This record gives sequence, C-alpha cells and structure tokens, in this order.
Amino acid sequence: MVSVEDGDEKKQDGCCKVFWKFMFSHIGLCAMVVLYSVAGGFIFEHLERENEKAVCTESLDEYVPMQDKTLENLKKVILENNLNTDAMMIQMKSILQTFRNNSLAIGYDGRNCDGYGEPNGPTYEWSWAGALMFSVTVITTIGYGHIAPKTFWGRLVCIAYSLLGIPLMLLCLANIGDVLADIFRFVYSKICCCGCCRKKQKDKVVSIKPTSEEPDSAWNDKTKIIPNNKAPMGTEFSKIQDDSTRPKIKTVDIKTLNKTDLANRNMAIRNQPMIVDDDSDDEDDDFDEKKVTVPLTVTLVVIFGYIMGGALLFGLWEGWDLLQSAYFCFVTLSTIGFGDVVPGTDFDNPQATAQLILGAIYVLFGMAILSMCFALMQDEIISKCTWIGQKLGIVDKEQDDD
Amino acid sequence: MKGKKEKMDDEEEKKSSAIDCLIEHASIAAAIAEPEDDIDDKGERKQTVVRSQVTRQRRYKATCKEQTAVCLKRFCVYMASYVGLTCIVVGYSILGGIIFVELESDHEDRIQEVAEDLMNTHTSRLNQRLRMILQQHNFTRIVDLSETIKDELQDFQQQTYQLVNEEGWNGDYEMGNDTLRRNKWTFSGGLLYSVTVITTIGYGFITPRTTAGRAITMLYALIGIPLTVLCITNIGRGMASLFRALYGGTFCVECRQQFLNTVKNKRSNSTAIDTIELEKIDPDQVSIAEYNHTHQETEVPIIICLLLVAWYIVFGAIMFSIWEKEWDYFVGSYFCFITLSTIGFGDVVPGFSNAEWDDQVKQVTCSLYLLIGLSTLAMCFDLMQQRGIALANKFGKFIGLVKPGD
Repeated sequence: MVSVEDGDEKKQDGCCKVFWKFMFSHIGLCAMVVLYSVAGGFIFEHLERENEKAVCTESLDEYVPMQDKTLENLKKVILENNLNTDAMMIQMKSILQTFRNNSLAIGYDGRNCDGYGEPNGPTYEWSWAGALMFSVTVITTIGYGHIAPKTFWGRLVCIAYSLLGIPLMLLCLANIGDVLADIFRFVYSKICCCGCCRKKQKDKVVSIKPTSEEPDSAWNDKTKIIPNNKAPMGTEFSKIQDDSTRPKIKTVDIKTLNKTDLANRNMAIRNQPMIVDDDSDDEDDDFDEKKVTVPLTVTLVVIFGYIMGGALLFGLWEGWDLLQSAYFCFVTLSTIGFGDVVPGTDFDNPQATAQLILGAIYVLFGMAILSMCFALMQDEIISKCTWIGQKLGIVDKEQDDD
Repeated sequence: MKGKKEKMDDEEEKKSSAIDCLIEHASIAAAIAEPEDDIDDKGERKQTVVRSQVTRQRRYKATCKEQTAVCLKRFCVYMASYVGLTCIVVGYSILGGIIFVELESDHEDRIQEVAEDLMNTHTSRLNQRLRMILQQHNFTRIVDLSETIKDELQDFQQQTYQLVNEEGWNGDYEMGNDTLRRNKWTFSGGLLYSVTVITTIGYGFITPRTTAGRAITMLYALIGIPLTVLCITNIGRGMASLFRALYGGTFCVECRQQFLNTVKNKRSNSTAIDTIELEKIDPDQVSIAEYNHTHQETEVPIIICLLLVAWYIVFGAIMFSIWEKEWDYFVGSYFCFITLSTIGFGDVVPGFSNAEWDDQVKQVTCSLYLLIGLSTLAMCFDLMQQRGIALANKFGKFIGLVKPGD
C-alpha cells in the first residue's frame, strides 16, 4: 500500500539515488575530477595571488636597504684605499660575498614588484592556469613544488583539498582504468583476430570453475580495487594475490538481465563448470566470456609511446632537449614530481597559460592511461611471476606461497 | 591469521632448516667423494660398482637439484619475511644514495667554482670601471660611482640567481672566519633523494642536474618504485596482523569471550556450530563485526586506524618543529601531511632549511620518518580494508550500482 506521500518520498529518494548513481558512474566521476580541479584553480588563485605580490614587496623592502648598505661600504673602501689594488680587491670581494649571501637569503630576484599584472611586468605564478596545474598536481599526488602555498589558509585548504581530492582521483582512475582496459582489449582482439587468431581459439576450450559467490558486478570488482588503490602507492599486488585463486568471470551487463535470469545464471554457475563455446558469430558473447589477454609488451609500448609523445611535444614547445623532456614526462607520470622542469614556467613566453593547461591535461590523461595499463598488466604479471616461480622451484605447481 | 609467536616459531624453523639443508648438502657431497672400497679387478663388480655410482650420482643430482630448489625457496621465503623486506628497501636506498652522490657531486663542485669565478669577475670588473671613472673625473664626482656600483651589483645578483635556479647552486655561509659550503649532495642528502624517488614523494629541492644523473634516476625509479610498493605493502600487512593480534588480545575483551564460547561449543557439538555459522554468513542481516567475531578475526574499527595516522602526523610535527627553529606546529604538520600523502612539494623540509644546514642526523631521520610513515599508512589501509569494502558495498547497494546478491 503506497500512499501519495510515500510515493512522493520515493520519488525524491529515487531522484537522489539517480543523482548519486550518475555521479559515481564513469562519466560522472570524470566530470567530478575535472570540475574539482577547475574549482581548485579558482580557490588557490584567490588565496595565494595577493600573497605573491605581498611577498615580493616584502623582500624588495628588505633588499633595498641591504643594497644601500653595500653601496656605502664599497664607497668607503674605495675612498680609503685610493684604488690601491690588492688591499681594495680583498675588501671589495668580501663585501660582495656578504652581499651575495644576503641577497640569496632574502630571496629577491630582481623583479619589478609593482608591475605585477601589467604588460611589461612580471606575470603572476598564481594565475588561474598556474593554480589549475597546482590543483592537478595535488590530487594526483605529483606535487611539483615550484609553486606551493605560503599562506596559512592556503596550506590548510591544500590539506583539506587533498584529503578529498586524492580518494576521488583514485576512484576515478580505478573506474576509468577498467573501462579503458575493456575498450583496449576489444580493439586489440579485433585487430588481432583477423582470421589468424580465430583458428587457434577454436581449439581452446576454456572451462571456468564454479564460484560460490555472487557474480561479479562491475561495482564489486571495483570495491576490491578501491581499498587497495587507496594505499599510498597502489597495492595492486595485494589485489593480485587476493584474486589469483578465484578466476574472474567476465560480467554480462547485469542491467539487461532481470532477476530470474540472474538467479538462473547463479544456479548454473554454481552447479556446473561453464564451458565457453567458440561460436564467434556472437561477438558480444565472445567478448564477455573469454578474456583476451593483451601481452605485456604491448602495454609497455603504450606507456613508452605516451612518454615519448609527451617528450616530443613539450620539447618542441618549451625548447627543451629530448632527454630533459623525457625526464619531465617520466617524473610526472610516475607521480614523483620534482618540479625542477615544468612546462609553462617560463613566464616571458606569452603562451605560458596554454602550456600550463596543456600540461594539466597531459597529466590527467597520462594517469588514465597508466591506470588502464595496470589493469591490463595484472593478469600477465601474475602468470609471469607464477611461471618464474615454478621454474625456480620456489612455487609448487599446485599452490602459491603467500 | 597466525599469531606473532607462531610466526616467530616458523621463522626459527625456517632458519634451522636452511642450515640443515646446507649440512645435508655437504654430507651428500662428502659421501660421493669417498673413494670406492670395492674396486676389484673383476669386471662385473666394477661395472655394477660403476653403475651404482652412476645411479647414485644421478640420484645425487636429483637430490641436489631438489635441495637447491628447497634451499632457494627457503631463502626467498626468509627474504620475503619482514626483516628481509626492510633490508631490501633500506639497502636499495643506501645504494641509490651512493650512486647519486657519485654522479652529482662533481657537478656540484664545478658549480661552486663557477660561483667563485663569478665573484672574482665581478669584483675586478667593478674595480676597473671605478678606476676608469675616477681617473676621468680626477676623484671629484661621487654620484656616478653609485650608479655604476648599483648597476654592477644588480648584474652580479642576476647572474647568481641564474646559477641557483638553473644549476642548483646552494650558496655558502660564513661561520666566523670560515666560509662553509652548503653541499646538497652529501651522503645523507643522496639517501633522502633516493628515498623520495622510490616512494614517489619527490621533493625537488635536490635534483640531478647532469644527464647521467637524470637517466639513472629514471632507471632507478623504474626498478625501485614497484620494489618499494611490494615491500611496504607486505610490511604493512605484517604490522597489521601484529596490530590486530594486540588489539584483539588486549583491548577487545568481548572478542576473547566470543572466542572462548566458540571453542567450547566446538568441542561439545561441532555440527551445531557449522549450521550456526552458515546461517550467519548472510552479510546483509548480521553486522560485519559479529561475523568476524565468530570467525575469530579481530576487526579494528576505522576510527582507530585514522587516529593512528593522525597520531603519527602529530608526532612528526612536534618532533620537527622542535628541531627547526623557524617552524611552528602548523608548518610541521603541513610538512608531515604533504610527505605522507606522497605529494611532496619540498618547500619545507627539515634539515635543509637555511638555518640548519649540514645536519646529517636530521636528514637521515627524515628519511627514516618517511619510510616508517608509509609503512604505517600501509598498515592502516590493510586494517581498514574489510570495513571499507563492507561500507562501499553498502553504499553501492544504496545508490543502486550493486544489485543485492544471492
């Protein structure tokens, strides 16, 4: 019995649920990450931009008296010694050394502090594009550091921002990785299956052992991924060990099955081993029930290609040599992120903004591609490690060591 | 989950069996090496002797191979134990430290010389310019001097800055009458650098400037990052089981009660327990805690895991802010948070600030803090896993991405 009020509430609940469901779907997560970075760009620009000018002015205020004092000392030395070379040289040298050390300590680099934002003046590092790059490096844990928040509020917000952003990013990557991996496998099997592979597959019969658990839905796979990927550097290996004893059943799209189909499928899975049949007429069936493993080399080639592509692009645009830009791409994609070599930091270049935005996009795509490659590599790595272990006699043929 | 004691027994057993293996090996080899007693001139006997020798050798080889495999396996298992893993990570960092110091300290020395030359050049240039001006004006006008000097100073400063930014020169400082260099690439600096590479923190205030340094960094990271991930995950797992044991043993009286009850019931009526446990498997109806209790697995609540991490950050913050005079508690906790999340800006790092240079103890402590902190994080993730999965499942079901199973 559903009263009208209940009906309304259900509708509201439904809307709420639909909303959250969309947010956590693939598109929703990507959109969330992009919006989060853009929002971060605005937030950090607002918090840090004024401070940048203030810091510059402060250091200038310290620098000028110091410079004047050096001036006075030098004049005194000159007048006292009447350009008597040796003694004067030594004294001048010591004054210059003090000047150098002081100016490094103060940290004023000679820019015109009043000219911020004007055509010939220095460009803000904390522009919107710079803050966007900063936000992206925070949520991907790259953390360049060439610009970093210096105000109290900036730092506090940075901590909060990363506490929310890093899990969001990892969630998104886990999702995207799976989707991209599926697409890649599909494309790869299409390319590979030009008839030559088809013959080989006809001979194979894959039997899948029954499992006593509910069939993996896409979400369940991810719930096993999420906690592991939340670990600092991704505990893909622990996921591997958990899953190695339980062969995966590739899911059929559960949304298209109704409950009875599901129940029947469960019963079927539980009671008998499923033998995959090779009618390659039904392509969707093939795709779902037989996982094409992409060889390790292909995955490595993809990663290498992305790094070299980025290296060429940034090398040309920024004027770096090939090793330097390859170094930048590697350090960025591995999330090490030193920050000594960063695109878009040469502020005399009018294209700095575009370079920064492109850098941010490169980073996000790179993370997605890396995630895809990890998803593709997992099965291969398990089987290779087991093979090596068996060869060495470390791993018994029937069981794994923990 | 094995308790700590059982684990230690296992390890001792492994060690002693490894030694036994070696002894057996040696004894077999000795037995084969003994000269045959029955070398008669009778051909047949000799043949049989030879044959038996051959079979013995074959058996020896088979046993030898088996023994080697067993030994290797035991060695690997031992290395995969927590001592082994820690040694791997620490050893790899130290190796990296040595390599990078080798590669980069020459460059640093060269840059120091460039800085010296710069200063000499500017001093003599200033000298010349002033002399020229004074000679022209016969020592009368002083205003021009200011301009010239200022101009020269600014030029000098710009060039120094360029040296700092592009070549990574770090300046020197005066202590009394001596000028001391601020070398970045000391052994402890190299160690910290290696640790930041393999943990992907990547501070960036020390970076390789030579081509070889950068290439080797990439290679080092390629091998080191997966290695560190593996090791720290496993160490974290070990620490987690230890923590669970402690938690279950000391704090959770309820767990002990449950355990005793289950044992008692098991002893009296085993079949009854089976049915009870089967009924309790449905996770929708029974809370995860109860499920875990019946399976004698202590579950540490999430809040305790979070508190653990928070405590480690606070501890680090206090320690570093006491050491670094310029830091307050907030900066200390900011540093600890940014480090443990592996973001690693590198704008504030203990042992490398201007006032506290050359303190190798601090720098090494910083590296240790990193590694232990990351292991703690791994431990907390391991502890939170079960609860986390259950919560995520619940949420997924709620929003309809997960259909309720069975």
